[in-house]
Amino acid sequence: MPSLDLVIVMSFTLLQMLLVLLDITGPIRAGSGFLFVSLWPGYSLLAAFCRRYRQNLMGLLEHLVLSVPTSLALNVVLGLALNNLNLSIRPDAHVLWMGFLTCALTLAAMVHPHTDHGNKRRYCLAFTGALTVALLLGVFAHSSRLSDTESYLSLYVLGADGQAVDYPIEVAAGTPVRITVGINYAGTSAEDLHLVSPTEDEIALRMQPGDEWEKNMELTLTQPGLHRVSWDLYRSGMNVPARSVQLWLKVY
Amino acid sequence: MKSKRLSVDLAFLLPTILLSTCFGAFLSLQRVTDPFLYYDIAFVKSIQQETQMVIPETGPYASLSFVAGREILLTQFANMMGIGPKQLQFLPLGTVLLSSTLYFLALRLLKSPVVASLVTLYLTLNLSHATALYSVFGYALALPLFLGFVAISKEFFQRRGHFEIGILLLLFVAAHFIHYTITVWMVLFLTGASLTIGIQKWLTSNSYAVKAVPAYYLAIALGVFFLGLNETVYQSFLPLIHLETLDSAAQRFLTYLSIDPASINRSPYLYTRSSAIGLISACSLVIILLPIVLGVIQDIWQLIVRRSLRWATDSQLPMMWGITLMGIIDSVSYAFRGSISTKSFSMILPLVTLLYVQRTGKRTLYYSVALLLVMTSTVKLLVFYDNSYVIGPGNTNSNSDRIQPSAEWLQSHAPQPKFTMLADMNLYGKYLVASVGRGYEPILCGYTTERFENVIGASTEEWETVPDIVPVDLVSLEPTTGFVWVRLNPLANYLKELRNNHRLNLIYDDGAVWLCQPTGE
Repeated sequence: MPSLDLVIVMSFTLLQMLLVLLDITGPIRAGSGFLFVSLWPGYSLLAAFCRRYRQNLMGLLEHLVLSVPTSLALNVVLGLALNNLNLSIRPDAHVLWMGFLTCALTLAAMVHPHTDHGNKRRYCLAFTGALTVALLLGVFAHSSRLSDTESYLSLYVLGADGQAVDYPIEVAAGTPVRITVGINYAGTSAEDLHLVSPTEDEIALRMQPGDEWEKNMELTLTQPGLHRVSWDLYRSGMNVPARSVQLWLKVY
Repeated sequence: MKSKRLSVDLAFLLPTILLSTCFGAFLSLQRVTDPFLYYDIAFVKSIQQETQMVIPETGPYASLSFVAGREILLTQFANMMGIGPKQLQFLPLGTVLLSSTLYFLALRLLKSPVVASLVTLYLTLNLSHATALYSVFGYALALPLFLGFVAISKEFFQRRGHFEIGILLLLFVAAHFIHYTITVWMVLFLTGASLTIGIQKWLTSNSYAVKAVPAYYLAIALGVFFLGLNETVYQSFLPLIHLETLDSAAQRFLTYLSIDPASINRSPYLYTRSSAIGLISACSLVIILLPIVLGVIQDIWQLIVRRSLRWATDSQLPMMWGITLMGIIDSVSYAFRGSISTKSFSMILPLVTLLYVQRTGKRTLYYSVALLLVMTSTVKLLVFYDNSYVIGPGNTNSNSDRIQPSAEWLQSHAPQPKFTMLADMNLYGKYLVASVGRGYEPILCGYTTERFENVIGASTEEWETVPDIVPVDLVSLEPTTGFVWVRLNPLANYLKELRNNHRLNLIYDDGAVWLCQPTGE
């Protein structure tokens, strides 16, 4: 009768292989994947090769905890060794070779005569603990997915060719310069805005979520000196600009 | 009896891991991370669709060739867990790996599950090292290897076995590909412990009185392997060594402790932590180092002057001296590079502190010191939170989602696919991750005091190199991190000065980020 710990290792390794090959994601996969990389390979290696383990000299706690650095090390060393064979970073390839290795080591441990680390209750406590921590991590990983879109409102100014480059720096008095001003809006409902521009009257805008607005403007400055030219965007009913951009222009 | 002891050990281990993991989850929700981790995450994101990992020789990922194993491991975690690299960055995996291995080593050395639990909690709740340890940064992945290395070495000194040698080599080789500092720690520890055993044997006339056997050959082999194969020493360590760096290291250390001697001519823009943070960090260091200093003095007195047989045959002494030597040399080596590192002191030396206190035989003192260590971490929690340092009641910086709109805007409007970006390391990292697979690449132009002064309009000097884009995190309360340990005040404190700087155009504003561009003057 194989010992309980080795049966658990083998079962969870096979489960992980199935989850990856069938491309099933979720908390179980996240928890199982964590154990697959950080626990099972080392556990099976220690079980298969450590003579002291087979002679019941290595305690359960020692075996379980030392499996963590051993697993990480195995993944790194074998991963780098197999990288040139294109087997390291593809999920299906990685799960296959590491899965087979873990299962082979576990089988090797099963065929060697050895005694258990104490009674089954201790095994259950230790492995239930490890699985609980892994499952908690899996649930946390699954629930903390980053949202890709958030609401935002942006105001920007572009140079003459519609790129964020070649902004006018020096200009002769009375010579017009071309500037592009734009607004992007992502939100949940429509928003009333007004843009205060140095070139023309206040521009009132009603932006729907996902709307983009852009306008070419011509700016003519007549007074020589250094000018701060700014565009201010206000939300409806607000006195302080929500967004503001500015350029410095030297007029000669 | 053995079975009952195992139950007690497990009964302390599981709550320790769970408590540490819960704290890790809190740090994750606070979006705590190390700025250098963005490079790893961006690289892992870039290779996820590939069949083979190839680290480019130039560009932002070039330095990752020193730590190829770390990239492999991160990719494997992301792939096996079925999550994206951006999620992996904030998962408290390091807390689980570290708390289990540290508990085990502490239990082995200190023989008390209560104290092992306390010393583990001291480190996992310690905010001074939270960014490096709780998630998947190099230290979080490599430190468990070091702890495993020390635990197996302890057995190895007593009983030689092929399996132990194999595992020690495996851990060393893996650490070499994850974090070079940890590799150095392994070599130093093994050398220090072997030398101590050698000294013990030399001092006792009966060589059988000392059962342990030094591992000189393994230490030499690992040292040669490290010096022969680790290019970091020659590319990132030796070139930085100057006598002046010692002076700046001392200055930084005093600043770390919030001590600013009047004689130091500091830039007004250099970041200074709240004195409360410095005070608690200093207290924590004193609690760790004082028993070690007193203990080492006693060791030398007993060993060399009195030739005490008890000391010469103490099986814990090689572990204590090995770890202490590792801590001292690590700290001194960083000092030559411009920053006295307290990482090894805070992370590993508490084990030695408790071993020395345990030796006094005063159980109350022993438990009190362990408890005091945990208390320094919990006080740090309150002080850091109160000062919005690392953690805080609100966001301490704009998260990656808030950076996304400006990153997309840059993608659409950047004049060329590669452009220079003068940014804080944290902010640059977010843009680097956002740029993967989008056909453009920001190139970091890190902050120096001079560049910082140029940005806020405090200098009339010409730009040393004119950056294409200067992003500013409007929310960040964190110091602006620049080249080689330069920490300047948050740029968000200087928004008025930025607006009045006539050498800087403000071309984009989305409420989270400003994108500025030098006028070229």
